[in-house]
Amino acid sequence: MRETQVLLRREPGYGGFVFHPEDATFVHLDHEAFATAKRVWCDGGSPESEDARTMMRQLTEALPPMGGPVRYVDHGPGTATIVSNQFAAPTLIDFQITDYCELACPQCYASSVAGGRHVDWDDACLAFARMREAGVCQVAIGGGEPLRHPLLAEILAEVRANGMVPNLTTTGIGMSDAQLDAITTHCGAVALSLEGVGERFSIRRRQGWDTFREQVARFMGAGLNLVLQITLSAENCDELHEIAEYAAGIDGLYGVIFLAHKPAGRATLFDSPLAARPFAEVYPQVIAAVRRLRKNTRVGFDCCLSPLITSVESDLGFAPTEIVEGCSAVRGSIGLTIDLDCVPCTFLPARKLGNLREASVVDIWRNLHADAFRDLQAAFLDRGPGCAGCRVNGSCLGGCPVWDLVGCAHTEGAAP
Amino acid sequence: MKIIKVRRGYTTNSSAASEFVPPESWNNQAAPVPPVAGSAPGTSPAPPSPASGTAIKPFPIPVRPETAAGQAASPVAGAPIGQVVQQPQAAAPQAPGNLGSPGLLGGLAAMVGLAFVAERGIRAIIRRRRKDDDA
Repeated sequence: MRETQVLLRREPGYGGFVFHPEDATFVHLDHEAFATAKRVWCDGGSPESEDARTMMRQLTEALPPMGGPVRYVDHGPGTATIVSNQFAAPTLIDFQITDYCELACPQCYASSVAGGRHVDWDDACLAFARMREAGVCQVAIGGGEPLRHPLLAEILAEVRANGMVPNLTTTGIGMSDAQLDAITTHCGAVALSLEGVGERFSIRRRQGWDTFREQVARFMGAGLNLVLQITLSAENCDELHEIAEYAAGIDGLYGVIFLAHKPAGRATLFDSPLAARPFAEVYPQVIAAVRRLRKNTRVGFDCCLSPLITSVESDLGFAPTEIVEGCSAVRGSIGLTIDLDCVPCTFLPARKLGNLREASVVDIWRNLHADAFRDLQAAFLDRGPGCAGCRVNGSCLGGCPVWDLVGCAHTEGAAP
Repeated sequence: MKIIKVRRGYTTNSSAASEFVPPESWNNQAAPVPPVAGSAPGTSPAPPSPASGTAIKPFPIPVRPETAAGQAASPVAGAPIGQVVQQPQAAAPQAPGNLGSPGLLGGLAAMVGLAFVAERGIRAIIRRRRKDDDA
């Protein structure tokens, strides 16, 4: 049985967090609570007051069972905070382990091709060691088609061996039984992309609708946590009710994540961002789909959709800023290419922050290139009165600072 | 000394970092927001914090699904995670047409929000006492 490695990571801004790999559970603690948890779990101490005992009991209840040692990570006093909710180091890294994919789907943002390169094994091991040192919690593995990497099983095992959770985005096509076993053993969740139903799916994804459904059945049959990632574009948002109906019909689905279509890679020539349509046309379809899906499963959002999420959280009865987190690039996550170049997110492969062969994750996280991107995020809110005067702008951050991806009720007016 | 927030859910994509909205069966993870008079669907009501333009993120503590019954959580106001940096224009008056009459609406929203939070708090205390009595 795999040992559960719980991570206790100090965050100078507010205290720190506990990360438990089961269901990727984060418990964020204030300074006092964090110090108490460290004293009890790492220093052999005991709670010093009734408040401390109560907090530790609540903390234990909030976490899945603790099955192994607690690893403590502290990056020191940290650096100046430029944007809100900026972590001391990434909690998530999106690692494109290959550029290879034979499908050549028309809306692939990575522009993957048959004959694309894979990350070297030694580079992958170096990257995972660097991530562990930084206290990274999850690695989102994608491509290209990760199944084409000849050492995918070893890569997933190596992520786990370094105390992190690998999650995988794939098409499932050509997956061997050995790969399925490795995915089942090591991955927290697996994602398949879904942008339409039936023929509408086959237009966007070369494997075709029947093959997609076969892969859904195969992953669900293996007992995996399956996520469906729905990329929303101006062109497919009218089909959303149909897509949601299909997804809601899958018993035991782990979740559905809505992603914003970005004009990157081949996707610049196929479909267009939601912002191409008035928010009042887009939003009713999204909220109806979210309501339908929530009857059966959890629903997540691409942080690029943050302006839209502010409306969703309001209409679903959540407190303002309870769900929306804003662009996570260089605030909580970074992207990693097959050459170990760190980028703010994998949609921006040309914007290099540094290379893991030459520097640590934390050094790159704190360098001038990373701060320049954070400056861009902060300055983005100054672009107009709609964002500057908005009360949730500290969390929403106005959406993607690079592309105009989706409208907003605050700036365009509410849905009819 | 407190837990600021609990978050669960695997992240499969770097840009999918925003919070999962739990299924309806977990609905009492979050404290619902009372409707604000005059706010249209799709617009966020004013947060309970003072109207400063820039939001301080209130991280509420969701309750675990399996223990959620009878333990609805209240938002923990003023418990930011990380530091919210004031943007130069963030403190500027709200743009016309954003939420109607901002001053009046903001005050009204703050009062409703305060009353709501107080009510939730009292309910939570009563529930806790009941639970203790049961135990």
